Amino acid sequence: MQLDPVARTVSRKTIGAYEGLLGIGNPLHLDDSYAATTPFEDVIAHGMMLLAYVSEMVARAFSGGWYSGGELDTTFVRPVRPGDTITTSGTITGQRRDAGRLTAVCDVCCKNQKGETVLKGTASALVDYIIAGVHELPS
Amino acid sequence: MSETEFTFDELEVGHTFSPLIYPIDQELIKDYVDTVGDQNPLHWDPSSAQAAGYRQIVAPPTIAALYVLKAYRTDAMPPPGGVQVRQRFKFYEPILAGDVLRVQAWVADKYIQHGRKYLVIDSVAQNQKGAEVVWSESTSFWND
Repeated sequence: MQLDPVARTVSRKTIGAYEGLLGIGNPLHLDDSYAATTPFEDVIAHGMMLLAYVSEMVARAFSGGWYSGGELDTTFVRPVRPGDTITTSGTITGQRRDAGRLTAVCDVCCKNQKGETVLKGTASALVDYIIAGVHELPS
Repeated sequence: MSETEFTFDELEVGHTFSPLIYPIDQELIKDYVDTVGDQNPLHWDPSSAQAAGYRQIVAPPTIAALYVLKAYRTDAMPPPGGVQVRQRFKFYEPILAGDVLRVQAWVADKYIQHGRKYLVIDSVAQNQKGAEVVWSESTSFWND
């Protein structure tokens, strides 16, 4: 079962704004001239920023079970460059039961406009307490 | 924040960094959701948050990125050129506007692989009530 995807264009301004929020001052995300001297050749987005898109997608499907009980495990595969459009998608792959609670497990990934994977991983969220009967995952 | 740098070699597994105190105010949540484009009303509309059972607006859980990366920069800066390859999170409790977090980071692992020096840094964030809200694990490498 697919989660509703999230699509965002990552501008140079967004990359700089995110670095501003972080307050670390890494020139790789801020300084075009510095970034041009690195193997990346231009500023790149923080891998961490992609997790905001994953969280938005999973929260839309699972809400409270994401804020209390969510888990993420993601690998950053490729850099995200200014102007890239990132599509974040997810698929529920299964569920697990533990101590009376049901958790939905999803594969998640972010791809750029060329179809290249920039992030991949898994997310899980609590669905419900298991009291009796069969629990349906959101449709 | 200190201008000195720590080095990969001098850090030992188990090394703890000075804790970070990080307030999550409404303005920060607004700036964060504006930057990432998340329009979920739980993040900006108090009445939506209250209707969903929260006493205040809810921060997107991944706002944790802002403090976990700072939590190991409390004593010294990491060497330049680090590339993050992996991030794990566990979200235990929602973070609400007005919460103040205490974030404790430590070196969970370090290793060298294919000429790259890897650091794995874990952290736990607690809110002002002492409740654990987020566990984080960040893996980054530096080229040798």
